[in-house]
Amino acid sequence: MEKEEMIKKMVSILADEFEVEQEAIQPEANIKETMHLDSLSLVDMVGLVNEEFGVEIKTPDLPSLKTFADLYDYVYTRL
Amino acid sequence: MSIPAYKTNDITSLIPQRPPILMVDGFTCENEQNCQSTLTISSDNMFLEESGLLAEEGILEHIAQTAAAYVGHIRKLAGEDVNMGYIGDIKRCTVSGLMPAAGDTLITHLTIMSQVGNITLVSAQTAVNGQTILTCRMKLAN
Repeated sequence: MEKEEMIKKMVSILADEFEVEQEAIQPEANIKETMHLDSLSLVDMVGLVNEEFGVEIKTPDLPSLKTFADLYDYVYTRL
Repeated sequence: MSIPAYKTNDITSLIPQRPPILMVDGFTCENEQNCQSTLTISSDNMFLEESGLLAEEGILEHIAQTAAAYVGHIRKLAGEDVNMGYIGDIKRCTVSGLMPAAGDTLITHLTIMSQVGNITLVSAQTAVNGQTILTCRMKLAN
């Protein structure tokens, strides 16, 4: 899967799951702030990425995933 | 963490619930992402309604206890005590078909979607006589 294709799919599923506009999911935007994630809903994002891309986000890696660009890079390098 | 396959009918070693609220009578952990449980509904099951059919809440409790059994199994492997868990939320719940009655056996397949800290997200599918009657995503804290 090309990175652009992965990003498009990621934006679509995140916007759908967390009920935000796709336009709000910009690469440099903060993940938690944009999708209003708390510690309970963070596990939803981890589960969704695992289910849709087969990539497991390790708990110790979560603090380093601040922006969507961080998330895209993390997932793409593990596809 | 690699989890060896495990099967038990002694569910009380994995979860703190006891009769009459015990809603799992068999548990199989296939690997780190998949497990299965069963419950044959007794005539005195506390979730049976006047109609003689099991309430949806009974199936959700059965799913929650299945997830709790998975967590309990992991905790036991790590040498930790089994503790009480709590349902965090339930999403994308779909109920279809006729609810089961006494004598029917629920079979639930659980996929572990993610675990972050003490929060576990699972995807569940419950069937009776080969027909899926309930699917949902459930988040549990323990």
